[in-house]
Amino acid sequence: MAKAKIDDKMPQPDMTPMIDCIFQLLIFFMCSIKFKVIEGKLLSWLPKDKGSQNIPPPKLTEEVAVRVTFDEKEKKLHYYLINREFPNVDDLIKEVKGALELKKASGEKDAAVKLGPARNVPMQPIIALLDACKLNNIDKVEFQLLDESGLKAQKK
Amino acid sequence: MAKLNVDQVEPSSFDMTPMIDCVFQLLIFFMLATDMSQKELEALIPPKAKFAEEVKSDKVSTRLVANIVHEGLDKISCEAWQEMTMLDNSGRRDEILKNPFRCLKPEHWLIRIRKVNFKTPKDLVLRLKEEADLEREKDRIGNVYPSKRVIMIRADFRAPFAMVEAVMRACGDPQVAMYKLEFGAMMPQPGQD
Repeated sequence: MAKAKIDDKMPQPDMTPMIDCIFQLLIFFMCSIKFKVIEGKLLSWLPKDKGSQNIPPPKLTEEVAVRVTFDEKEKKLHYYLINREFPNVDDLIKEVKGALELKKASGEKDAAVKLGPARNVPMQPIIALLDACKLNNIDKVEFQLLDESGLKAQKK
Repeated sequence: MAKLNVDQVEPSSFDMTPMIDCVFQLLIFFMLATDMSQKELEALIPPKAKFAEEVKSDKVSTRLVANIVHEGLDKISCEAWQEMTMLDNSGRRDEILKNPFRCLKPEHWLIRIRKVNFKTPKDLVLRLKEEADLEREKDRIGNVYPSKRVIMIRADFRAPFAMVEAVMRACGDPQVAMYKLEFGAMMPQPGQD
């Protein structure tokens, strides 16, 4: 009787479908990849007890009120602390820091900077201002939104 | 001379193992490097801030992000933005930076939360109220229970403050009362100033 031949070779699994799948996945991830960008955050607050509704224009002598405006024709930013204009953020922040220290010395421990940018100011200078506050350890920066009368005054 | 028996010659095959190793390495790299968590972040250029705090990845899933982006040029006509897009596409970023704030018309900018546009203050207030109601403080201040939720305002660096103000006004609405804000900012990349 003829003996059955035994194939002594190792069975080879067919790798093709797996490689196909892996390549598909690879191509998917290569096409959809969007590398992580380091993004950060800067903290701020709205007045907790007042809301943003109908706040009259600030009484400028009582608060450390910072105003930023943008002249669209000249493409120039204007920085004000109370009614005094400052040529740049650094000078403004020095003055703000001094004003806050005076407030704290007079017993107002929770004195905060009230920031009121005009509506046409782009975000970059506002964030730069918050960044400068952070650099100078000014932690309390609140945004102050103007009511209709304030907005009209701002337009003028 | 003995003839070579063709039947006995095995078909030549090359070793696939190194290639499969490399492909697996690449696959693992791309799987780890792909960031799937940023669905709620729109494609925009945030303002630069040197001293911004890094956003912790464990808080990514719970945060509420209001993106402020320019409306697409397929929807509106904006010459200023078109010019800027053209400069960007042709790699002339220096020219953009000379005069980046070209479109400051609030009607050209959108507030987008999780891929949804909010065009009216009322819609925005309703959306933020849903979010604010998830976590309220126990103590009442005035007539409202302020929300503990934090909102991140992630605006393009060229967006006008008017759009941010609209989000802030919605946050300050008594129904919402979200007073903790964060501003999305781009931290300097390693090696940059």
